Amino acid sequence: MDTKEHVLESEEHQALRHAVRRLLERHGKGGADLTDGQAGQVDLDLWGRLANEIGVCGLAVPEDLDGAGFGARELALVAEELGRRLLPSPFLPSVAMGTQLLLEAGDPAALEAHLPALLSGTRRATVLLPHHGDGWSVEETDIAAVRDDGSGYRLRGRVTRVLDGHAADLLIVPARAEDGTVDLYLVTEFIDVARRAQPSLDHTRAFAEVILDGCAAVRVAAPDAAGAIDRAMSVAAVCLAAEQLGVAQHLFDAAVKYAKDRHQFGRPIGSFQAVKHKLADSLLELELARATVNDALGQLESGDPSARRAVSVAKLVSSEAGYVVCANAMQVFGGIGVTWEHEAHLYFKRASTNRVLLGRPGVHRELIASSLSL
Amino acid sequence: MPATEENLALIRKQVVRLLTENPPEDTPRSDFLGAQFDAGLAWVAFPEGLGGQELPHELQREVFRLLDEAGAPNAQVSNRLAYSMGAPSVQTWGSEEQKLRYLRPLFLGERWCQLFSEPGAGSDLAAVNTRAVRDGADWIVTGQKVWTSMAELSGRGMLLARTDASQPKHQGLTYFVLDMSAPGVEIRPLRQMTGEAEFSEVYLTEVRVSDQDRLGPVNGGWKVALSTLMNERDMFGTKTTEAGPVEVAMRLYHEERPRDPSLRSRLVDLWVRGQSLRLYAAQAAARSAAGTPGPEGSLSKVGFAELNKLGYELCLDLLGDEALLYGDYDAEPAVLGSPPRADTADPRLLFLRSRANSIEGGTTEIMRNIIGERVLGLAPEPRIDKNVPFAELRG
Repeated sequence: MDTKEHVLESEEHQALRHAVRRLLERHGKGGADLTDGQAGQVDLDLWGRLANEIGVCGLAVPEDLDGAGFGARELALVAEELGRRLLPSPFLPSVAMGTQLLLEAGDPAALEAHLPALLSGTRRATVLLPHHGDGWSVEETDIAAVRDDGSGYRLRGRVTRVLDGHAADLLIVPARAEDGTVDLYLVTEFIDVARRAQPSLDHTRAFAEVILDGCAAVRVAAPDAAGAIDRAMSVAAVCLAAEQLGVAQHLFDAAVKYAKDRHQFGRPIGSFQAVKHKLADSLLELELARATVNDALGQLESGDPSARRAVSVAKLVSSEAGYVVCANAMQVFGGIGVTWEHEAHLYFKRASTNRVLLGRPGVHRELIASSLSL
Repeated sequence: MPATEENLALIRKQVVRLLTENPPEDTPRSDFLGAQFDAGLAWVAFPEGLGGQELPHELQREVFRLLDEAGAPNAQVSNRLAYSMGAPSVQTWGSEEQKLRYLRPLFLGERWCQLFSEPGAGSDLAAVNTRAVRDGADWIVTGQKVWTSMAELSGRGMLLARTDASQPKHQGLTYFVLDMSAPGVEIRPLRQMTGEAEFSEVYLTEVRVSDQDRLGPVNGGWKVALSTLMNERDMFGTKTTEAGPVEVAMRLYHEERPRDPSLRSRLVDLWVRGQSLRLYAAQAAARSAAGTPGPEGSLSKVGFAELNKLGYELCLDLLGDEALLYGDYDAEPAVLGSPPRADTADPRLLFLRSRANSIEGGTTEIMRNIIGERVLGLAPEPRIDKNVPFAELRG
């Protein structure tokens, strides 16, 4: 297994990476198969294996909650491998976003009720962020929460483009109460909920429109919902950045191989400088992006005060680099690169949508600018 | 070989002793450097008696860190070319007699310059035309070198010359350590677009060079030159702690307070790019220390060159109409033979100087070829001159 980009990884991390990669290689769908059927359709069998044989859902869950007790770095590692394979999975919405949010919110009742099923992969969560491109500020939520008789609530509103919204079992909904405060609410019963899959640009991701029409919900008792969301989505953003690295690295490696195999004018096309230089530049972008993801993970681990900025740097740089590298790779592939049949478009489309999820580049740029007092 | 806690502690003890026995404030520079050499702290990886102790190379960084803290002389900074390029070449290719003769004086301050490039041999360095013709125990050298830094201050020059034109270009070259004070060596300043002359042209007219100053085998000079160049590329790639265009742009932004939002946007992007490159270089240094070096030198070189050009373009835009004027094209450089420093020089000078960053020390195009071929394994372009005797080549 060629992992020269991970030479400094610990043996444990290499073992985890190897385990995930091997499982995906043996069982995952690849290439053009991904365009069959509904976008982002999850192979439940494979998801179950990832959850139970490797424990991906519990990697960042503390041991006293039956998790593995690791952290963002391990989640990011798995995300990267899933990205390489372009596996449609609920990892981002359910593990990186949903589970992390429940942990950060810290409501014991909510954790007791939902964590076990999330850990085993039998249930999937998703977070109904009002917008993807604008980042994870929930102040603009259009969902209203009204106190029900008893201790419950009823939610009313509409969110579109919810990741895995059609199939998720647990909706984590930021909603505004009558007094104006925004809190998190949990929906597990799909009465008075209409969910409609939306056609996705990226064949490997599922988006849905979710209409909450007075459905029952339980409020998450979190002393600081905004803080919990920020911390959880920061981890998710670095995971997405790592996933983007995996996506781009796969297509880049494929393009380099193509440049060696494809002959025109009597020689491999990689021997022409224009092609060679494009790939050399792509390597630089990948390596720089990787460095920013490593730095963000390190700062999150050490609780560095500038970790939030490092997360935005990693998300910004990886989003852009991943996209550009995929675009360059597609160019190297020439005609076949733009066909339905070839895998290039699948990676390109994923890289493209990843630029929007969890904050488009401009949003992260703005946070960085503010942190530099500009 | 990576450093260990043990030998790190040993090094620290030795440096402490060096500083105690030779307090920098009271010790003449060359005495201090002599003591450092004799203590095996000049290049710790070199053999004993030649400035080293055969310890891991990574420990040298710690030596200089401690010396810098104590305000002691730093040969790597003050005599960079000789220390980082000349000495490793001598160590790899020199005879024991040559190592004994060259290394200590070099470390004590004898400057070395590079005599590689010629008007007709830049990216295609193997195409050098300067001839060395055997004459008894000596060689007679005639030719012209260009882009030589520090020529006027240098005691010796690393010279690549052609010794057999009947061989293909790579196979008829020999490397010499030239005595710059020898008769026939003429140095002329080479003025750049900035107005400064950091470099010189060096004219060699029948200069007599002893065969004892030949480094490496006759007609085997290409490999020696390559090892010198490898060290040069690493030098360029790792300047991560000096101020650069990001710092200058930040300062100008705060001074000028521009209203144009696109300038703010470009500044953030510049900062992010600079940050990415610094993180990459720092993590690469860690990989290198762990014994698993990668393509970092070449990638960093390309990255920093483009950052400099982009960054100083932004600086110029931040200056507004001031960008129409200049300081003084006739001014002397701040430090002879050195490029202007970002923390003190006029941004307009830095802007002009930055254009050469993607050309000197290996053009960005050559670096991309190296990355593509040696790192990614892509096929080289067909070379039509590789196996043709040099004397038969045209142009």
